[in-house]
Amino acid sequence: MEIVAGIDVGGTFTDVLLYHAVTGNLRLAKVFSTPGRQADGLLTGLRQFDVPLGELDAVVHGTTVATNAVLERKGSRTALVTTRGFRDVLELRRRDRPTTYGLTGTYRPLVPRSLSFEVDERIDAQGRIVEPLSPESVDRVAAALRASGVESVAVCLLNSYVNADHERTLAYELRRLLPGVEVTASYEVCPEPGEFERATTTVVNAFVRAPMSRYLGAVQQRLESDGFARDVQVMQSNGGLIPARRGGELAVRTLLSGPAAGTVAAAAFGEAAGLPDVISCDMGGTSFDVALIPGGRPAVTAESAIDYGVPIKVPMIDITTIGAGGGSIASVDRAGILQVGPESAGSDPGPACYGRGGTRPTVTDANIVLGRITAEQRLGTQDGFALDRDAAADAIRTHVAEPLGLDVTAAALAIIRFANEKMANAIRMVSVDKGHDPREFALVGFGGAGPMHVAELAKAVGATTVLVPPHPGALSAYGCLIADVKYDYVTAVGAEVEDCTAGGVERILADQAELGRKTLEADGFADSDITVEHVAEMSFSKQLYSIRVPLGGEREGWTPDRLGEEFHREYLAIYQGRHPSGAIRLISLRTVVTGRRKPLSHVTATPSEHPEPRERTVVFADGSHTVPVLHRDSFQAGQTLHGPAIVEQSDTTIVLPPATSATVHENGSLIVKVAS
Amino acid sequence: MTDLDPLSIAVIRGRLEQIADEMDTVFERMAFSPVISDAWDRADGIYSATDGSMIVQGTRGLPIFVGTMQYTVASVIAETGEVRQGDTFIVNDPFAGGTHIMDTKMVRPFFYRGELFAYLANTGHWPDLGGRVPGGFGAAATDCYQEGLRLPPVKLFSGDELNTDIVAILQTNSRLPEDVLGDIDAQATALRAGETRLTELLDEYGPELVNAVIDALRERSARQMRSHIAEIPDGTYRFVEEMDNDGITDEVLRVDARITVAGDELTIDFSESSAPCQGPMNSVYAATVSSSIVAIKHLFPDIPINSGIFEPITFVIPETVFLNAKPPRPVAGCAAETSQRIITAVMGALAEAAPDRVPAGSSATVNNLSIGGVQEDGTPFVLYVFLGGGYGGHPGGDGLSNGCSLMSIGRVQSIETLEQRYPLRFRKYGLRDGSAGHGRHRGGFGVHFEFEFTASEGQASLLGDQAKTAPVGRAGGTPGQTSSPWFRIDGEQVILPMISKGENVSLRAGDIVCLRTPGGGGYGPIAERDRDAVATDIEHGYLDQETAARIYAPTA
Repeated sequence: MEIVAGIDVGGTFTDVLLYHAVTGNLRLAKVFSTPGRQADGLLTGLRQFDVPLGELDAVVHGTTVATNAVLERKGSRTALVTTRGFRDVLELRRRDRPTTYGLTGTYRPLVPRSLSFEVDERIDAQGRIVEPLSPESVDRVAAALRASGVESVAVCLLNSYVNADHERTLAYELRRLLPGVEVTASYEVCPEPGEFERATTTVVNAFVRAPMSRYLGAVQQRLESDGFARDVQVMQSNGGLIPARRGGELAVRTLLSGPAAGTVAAAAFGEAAGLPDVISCDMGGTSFDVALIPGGRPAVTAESAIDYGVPIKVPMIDITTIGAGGGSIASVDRAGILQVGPESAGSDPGPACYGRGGTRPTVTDANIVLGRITAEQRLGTQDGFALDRDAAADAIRTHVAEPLGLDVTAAALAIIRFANEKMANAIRMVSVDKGHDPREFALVGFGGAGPMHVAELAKAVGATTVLVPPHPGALSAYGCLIADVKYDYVTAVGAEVEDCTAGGVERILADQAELGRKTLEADGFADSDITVEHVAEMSFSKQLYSIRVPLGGEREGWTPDRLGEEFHREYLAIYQGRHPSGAIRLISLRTVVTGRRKPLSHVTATPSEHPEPRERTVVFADGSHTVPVLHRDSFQAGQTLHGPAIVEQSDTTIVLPPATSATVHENGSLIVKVAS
Repeated sequence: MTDLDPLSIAVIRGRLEQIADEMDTVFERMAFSPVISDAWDRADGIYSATDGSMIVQGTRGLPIFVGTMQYTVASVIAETGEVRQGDTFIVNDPFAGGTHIMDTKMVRPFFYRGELFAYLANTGHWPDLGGRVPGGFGAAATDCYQEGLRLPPVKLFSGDELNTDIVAILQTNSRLPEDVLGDIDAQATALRAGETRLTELLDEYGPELVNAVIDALRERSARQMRSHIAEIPDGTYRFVEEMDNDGITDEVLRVDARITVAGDELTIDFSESSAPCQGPMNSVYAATVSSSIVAIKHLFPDIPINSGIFEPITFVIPETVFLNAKPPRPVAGCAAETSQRIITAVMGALAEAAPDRVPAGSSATVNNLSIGGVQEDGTPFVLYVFLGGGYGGHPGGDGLSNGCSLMSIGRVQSIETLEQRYPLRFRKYGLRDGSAGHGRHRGGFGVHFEFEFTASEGQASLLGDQAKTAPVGRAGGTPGQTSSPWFRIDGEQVILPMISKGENVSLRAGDIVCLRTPGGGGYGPIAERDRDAVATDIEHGYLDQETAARIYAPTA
């Protein structure tokens, strides 16, 4: 018997998916999250099934603990130690302001200036020691740290990405002198040039590792006391898992772990349906997350900002977020132009139709006015509440219809269409950024609101195929079920390609691969389940933006000529530039080592009995239609249906506009064809 | 026009903005010039086929270029004959709709179904185009011919064929010839990307509807600007910014902004400003107008950028003042220095009218520092960096520390990148203690930026300002500190004769350059500062005990 649980703890809901290998059956439990004590919600979710935890083979988990700790500035009391002269590295940022226009921004660093300390030492840009690390200054800083009562220390010395000797010594000494205080050194989490980004990455890790360790420790312990005997696995932002016991030490890698899991699942459902090139479209209550997944592999970025002035430089799935969700507020500005978002009604007071005091119209209100969702709609599988259509109509009338001189229905259509266009713009931006054309991709719609919008969204970007996975409201949990264990390694090179040697490249790649293999073997992976892939980060020497050049599994034979050829090929594919010329620089070498978990052998949809289809009136761009309301649980594999239609299921509603047709895949995915 | 629905306006506006954003992205990713790729000293937009007026600019485009590019496109229209699909013009003449020589524009006519529909254009700061000092910021230039190679609108591409003769001229005149081709490629590729997207948009909606929306957007922006102006009480308001000197003669240059608000229109009159100057602090008409608009956008950030925002505003900038200079006046300081003081002058005047909307004075110099020379391995280098400073306190809170130039949005290169690429070793990069003005909401801090030069020899030039007149305090707050740069040459501390400006200062290994930038002014009476905020500032080292006792004691 093989049973696996995938759990995604989000801000509002905790989703638990349970997979039985024998039956291929998937079951979903959705419970409210318990902020502050997330382990409670997680356990409640797991206990929804009549399965003793001792029978589970794996528990895999996506979490927002680290992200929330940063956004709410509720991490450990953390200090920063830098080279003399540079303690203000966080305060200075990269000299910018939060918005292009307006001079009233503010910035609050994660570490206050009073907890930023300096040691006497200096290493130059070539890695040469200009001034040795002064033991007296180490003692002085250690004493100050002790007196300040910090729980966690980030160490980030200038140029440590070329020579980490001083950082290593300093971290060792601080650990020795300050037992009980956690020390994160920048060379351990982000050995790359750029002191501000490296410092913020290190500080974020230091800031969240204690809350993360405490949380994961609590989860592990409570599962064990209920009989679970394995290691809990945690999703990282690169789309791979790590054992929970490493999740504290590498906490910065678990930011955005839930959204990353969603893209892993979107890729898997795309591949299963013969659609390797997909774009994941995750639309929730406040935001729309989009990621490009060419060839079944989510695009990866080396850097991403989680807040103003808080960039994180670790490999992450490249997810772009815009403020467009069910709760996004529609308004008309001074110039008489319709706006939707980024302001959101959130879950409190929420859209006007929630009847919780919200009076401004949202995308959800427009959906209810158009009949795409109904007043009886329940949110989540626990106690829902009825939605108030009249309140939605009133809000739209006052704030959108009257100012624009439209009737309420036309205003609601305009809100939906505009929200879709905003999302379509984000999809185009993400695609062009990577040199792709979104029309050649299938869109995977998920999140609570994604399936309502994705078919129209496809039309807006010119895509012709849409996929709605079986549990679109819990796709991140599904991603947890299927993800592999993954470790990333990076070594800064910073040399002209013509000065590199195949032997030198091979040595670095071999060391990275070896370290990865050892780690995976310690995690219990057999050699045959381990794959290794290399990437070179390269640019023209004069450029600051680099591109990722995939090197495949080979570590030998990377002569300067071959590296140059691969770079040119990739560069032209991305930018279509006309005159690539000039010296090329090898910024860094990266290796991703993957431990393949046993794939879910098969997922079967088991149709259940449902009453005859009902009908209701739904408004689309071409007018109102009486459409069948189908229940997704009743679908048989191979079944075909035609829009206009509404498909309801416990975690969302799928809207099939006119001129669409859909077939049910054997794994339960709905594959929708949209006429272009 | 009659059946123009509100949805099409909203949707097409979003698409137009996105096209410009995409061009910005392609440009910055491919550029060789770090000032473009890292400091985002670039902008992309779409302009009218008939008069060059602005249709849209990228949301992350450098603010100062907001208005200048429409003058550039207008000059291309005026000075070139028939244009064909695939033509691309290059122009950097500051007097043909520009700023300074380094800001190089490309303009590409855009055809839809054989008809000229619009112009696509972009600007990027190139690192070097010759002139008397590396990087182009000659602080003692006395005419524009000393500032580098000036290009009128010339055809760089004909039918997408690169004119290699022009490239040869550019490369021969640049201290960094390799960068020239890289930046041309980035800039031209961005324009072609815009062409592809705009064609798609027109395929989808048709040129009639898109044109109708463009007209409507212009009218809406004008209306929005008018509604903001109408909220400012009628009257005449005035503020005078004093710039240190022109780099040649140590005499103050006055940016005198007199703003008259009448109903929903306003007039900005600079005619009492100083006369054109001998040194490089002159501004050109396009840059003066754009800077004024940027000041207004800082106060009303919600107005979408297109030519409509200029409509309710009248400018009076006679050729007798240094803010509308003509050839052969030198203008290197226009884009980064004078433009900022125009912004602070306009904001200052509006503060008279609406004191509750306008922050206290901000750092308004970027200390353009360039150093040219040869590395130990024989390769030439031109370093160009510019710095941020403190923003003023404002009605809602304390000012931001180390904010970027008021007319820019660019980031500064990391210290580690600078050390990797140039012969420098930094001694300190931190907040400049004591630089912020006091008040209910204090100013943000300027920076202390100090390095040792490590190559055997180099030539440094500094073009800055605000070393004599500090960012003002407002509504009872005190001013921030002035800019205060120094050099240590051969062991001797040196302050430049013009303090904030100097050129071809010879550096040798071991010499030190130290720039200390202004802090923002304070906003509101000191007595009203929250006591907890004072305690926090002391705890965080923003304020020392002694100063706290002296300034805030009566309230503590």
